Amino acid sequence: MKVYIDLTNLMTVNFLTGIQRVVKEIVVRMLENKTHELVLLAYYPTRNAYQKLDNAAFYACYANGEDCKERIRTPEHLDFTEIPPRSVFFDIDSVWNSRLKRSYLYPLLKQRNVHIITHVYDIIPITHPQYCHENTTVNFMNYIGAVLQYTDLVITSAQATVEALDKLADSVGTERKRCKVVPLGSNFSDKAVFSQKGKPDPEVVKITENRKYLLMLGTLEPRKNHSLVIDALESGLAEQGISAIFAGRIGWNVEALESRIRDHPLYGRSLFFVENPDDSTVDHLYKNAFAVAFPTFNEGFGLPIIEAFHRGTPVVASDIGVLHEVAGAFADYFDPTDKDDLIRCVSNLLHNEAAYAARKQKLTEFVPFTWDQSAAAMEEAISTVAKKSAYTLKTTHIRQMVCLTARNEDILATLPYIEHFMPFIEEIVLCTPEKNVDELKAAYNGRLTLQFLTDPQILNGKALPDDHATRNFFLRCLAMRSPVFDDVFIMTDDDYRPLRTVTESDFIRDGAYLAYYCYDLNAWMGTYGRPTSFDISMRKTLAFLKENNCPTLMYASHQPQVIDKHIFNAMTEQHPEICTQGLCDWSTYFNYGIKHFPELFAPVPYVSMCWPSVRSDWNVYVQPENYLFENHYSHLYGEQNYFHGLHETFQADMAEEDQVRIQRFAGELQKQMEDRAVYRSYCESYWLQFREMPSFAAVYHKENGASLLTPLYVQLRCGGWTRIPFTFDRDILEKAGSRKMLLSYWFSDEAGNNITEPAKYPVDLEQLSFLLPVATPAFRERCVFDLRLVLEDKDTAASASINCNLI
Amino acid sequence: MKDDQVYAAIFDQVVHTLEGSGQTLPCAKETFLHATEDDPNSVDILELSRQKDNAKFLEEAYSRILKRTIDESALQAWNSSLVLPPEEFQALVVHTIVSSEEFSAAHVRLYNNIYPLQRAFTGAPPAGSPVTMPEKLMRIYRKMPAPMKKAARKMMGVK
Repeated sequence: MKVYIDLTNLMTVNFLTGIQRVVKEIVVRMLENKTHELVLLAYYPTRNAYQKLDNAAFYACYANGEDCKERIRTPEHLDFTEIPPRSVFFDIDSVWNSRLKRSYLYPLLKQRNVHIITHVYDIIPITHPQYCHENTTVNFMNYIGAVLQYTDLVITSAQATVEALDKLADSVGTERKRCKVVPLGSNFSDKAVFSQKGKPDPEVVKITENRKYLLMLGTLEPRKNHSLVIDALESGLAEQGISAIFAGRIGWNVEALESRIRDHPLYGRSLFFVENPDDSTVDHLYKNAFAVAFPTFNEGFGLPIIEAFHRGTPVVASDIGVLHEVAGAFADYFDPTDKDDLIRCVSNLLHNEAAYAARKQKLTEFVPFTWDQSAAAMEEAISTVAKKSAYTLKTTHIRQMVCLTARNEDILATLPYIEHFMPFIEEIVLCTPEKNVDELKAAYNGRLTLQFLTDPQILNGKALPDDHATRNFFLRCLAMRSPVFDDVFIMTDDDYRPLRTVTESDFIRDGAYLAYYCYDLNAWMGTYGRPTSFDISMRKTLAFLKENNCPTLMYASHQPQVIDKHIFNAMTEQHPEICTQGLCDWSTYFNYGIKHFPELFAPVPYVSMCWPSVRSDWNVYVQPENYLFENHYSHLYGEQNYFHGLHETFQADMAEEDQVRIQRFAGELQKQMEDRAVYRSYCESYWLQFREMPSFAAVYHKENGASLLTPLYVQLRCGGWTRIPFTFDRDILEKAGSRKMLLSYWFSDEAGNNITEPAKYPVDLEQLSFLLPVATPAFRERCVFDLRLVLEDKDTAASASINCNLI
Repeated sequence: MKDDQVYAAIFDQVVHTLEGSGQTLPCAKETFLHATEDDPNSVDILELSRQKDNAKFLEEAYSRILKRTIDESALQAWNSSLVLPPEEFQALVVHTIVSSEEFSAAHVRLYNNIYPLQRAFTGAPPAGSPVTMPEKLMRIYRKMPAPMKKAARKMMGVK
């Protein structure tokens, strides 16, 4: 299984404290075990993408202690959307502090059906925010909210964390998470990382010589309750010959504590602070301590406890549930709010040699969980992340195709392609108006068995909606109940033509239905100013999917797709209202399926040509890697179009011609990519120059009314189509009160003469952020890009003229 | 349950717990919820500017541009400016943040920056023209021959 791990935090810090040590120990072992294929990542904010890490360099640095950290980052990037479906994204680092918030990342991963596994160390910032830095709390709230909604499996180090998480899920009204408890190991590797290569700090060694000391290891922070140990020292422990050594980093909100330590009369005599000790020094401190003190108010696991046990050092710990779970009968407990109780606990060991010896003897029975065991248990959890639902694939054999068609000539032209290129298809069910049936029967004499499901049979007295999208979904919902349909079949339209041999494995692979997506509905802008039935349907679908917490990819990919009718029917049974709402059937079905049966679906980029038909239609969101189907548009075969001169109907030997067809279409798409590359490069250089992205917006000013915000200059590709992001300030509607506006643009020369005719777009009040499609003149030169917004119902306008480089 | 309801419920719970120990969270619910919807490396200043309460704007600006809660010292430093008119205050906050080293290191991209820095950098006139002209005049202008258009533009001081 491919496992992606975000190690941004580990790569940022030059020290290893609790969580970083865990991450290091686990990842190093996972690299050694090779149970899963690991892809190590770090967030790269400049590109808002991941940067891949070099596994070998990571291992050399973190397992062997080689000084090669700078070699770990590679120049290779990975967009979040490139993490493949049904792979695993494993969060084990302290990711809540990452810039890449999980409220942003996890939904993107779930869109593509990536399994998310999160190691939750504790939820203290939620249960005890008073002990945490406010930034940590706010970041953690974001993180845990995403975990509760999107994580498939939570790994914790203690059952107490599972219980806290369950309680939180209950209180906020989400489902309880599937959890697996994997205790942490305690045998930290002998090889030190970022340290002095194996020797403890001699100054620290000197402090520990001939001294009975309580060791408190961990970052200085309010939750750890260092003050209690100082109180106990002052109240008698020091007099009894006990010292305290605090070792760790200085955390937040501990200025007063730090001063109390450093200014304390016992400091340097019975009280010591060792800042940022390396691994060898930590090991020395553990081995020579009289006991490890752990007076924490709350904890996720308490790693120092088992590290102490591992070295045979007794532990006195807070009397709280999670520490009992971790330390059991091997530790002595005290009330973390009562210094006298701590004194009692330490004194028992100090003045009773037999008891102390017995405690040390008992520790020889302690069987520590090793990091090898921790890593193996996590690897096993990763292997089983895919939930086994009661519903399984009905078949891996497909024999039937279903097509909604009202145009005989289209389906008759498409059938020979299906016959020839889809040999596994034996039967095609045509859902068609009754009047078409006889003609189809008479005209077709190929190898496919034709079944007919006429509109009256489907509708059974119900009225057919007028709107195209509403009609299609409505018919499909009704037709899906027909016994004529197989459990699993290919749904198609009458103009989706295979281009080469297509097999069942193009629809069902590795036990999952392939779901071909072409867009993210959140990003779909449609035809600006004149939304089509398709665009409106996409907006409605997005609203439905969001309302129901489903992923939101667009599967209206204009190509055949595999449908499991039981899942489709389950969807319409659960949401009967959608049958008449004009949603996109493909997008609704697949996103619903992925949400409820994630193990049965694999979203993959679409493989259909001519969607969009021409580069000016809309910006491609995901570029097909290959083409299996053509979304047939007759006009593309006309004069001055890119398929001109090619056969529009099936020919026995058309392999060579199909190559030409693919090349021509790929060339058309390439032009769009080039247009966009020029604009992207302009945006980057503008950002570097002015610390802001070039932006086009219509804004409202109290004095001036509507005005246009534009960059100082713009750079576009000549003879191309560039879609420029444009934003409309809602205040123009709310404060200026305009309801009828027209946005237009044209190009003029420096003398003010128009080079192009104005292109006009009525402002769509439903879509205030959009992409303005700008067709540029065909020659390279400096000119002026003129924009004008007319508030037609207010008889006012705003204009802007921007210097423009056409390249 | 929708995303924002989950985040809101978590926020309420934490605030409640903090209140029990006499503390507050230096982040309003609205700011927190906005942050859960944010792209990690971009922010829309036009959208941000809709917050007309200066104190809330300040909190949101730190959260959405610098991706962190505002610290105590920054809060105190801004305290005396909170009385400024919103547009003036907002421009000051955005310019200050954008000029900071923290912003440079953060690689956050500002979109629809209605308080653009380039004017301060270059002394150039505002990008775009807030010129508002009755449509009737524009119709006349459009019908003019090119030399007359040029003269008209010169007269009006429009490029």
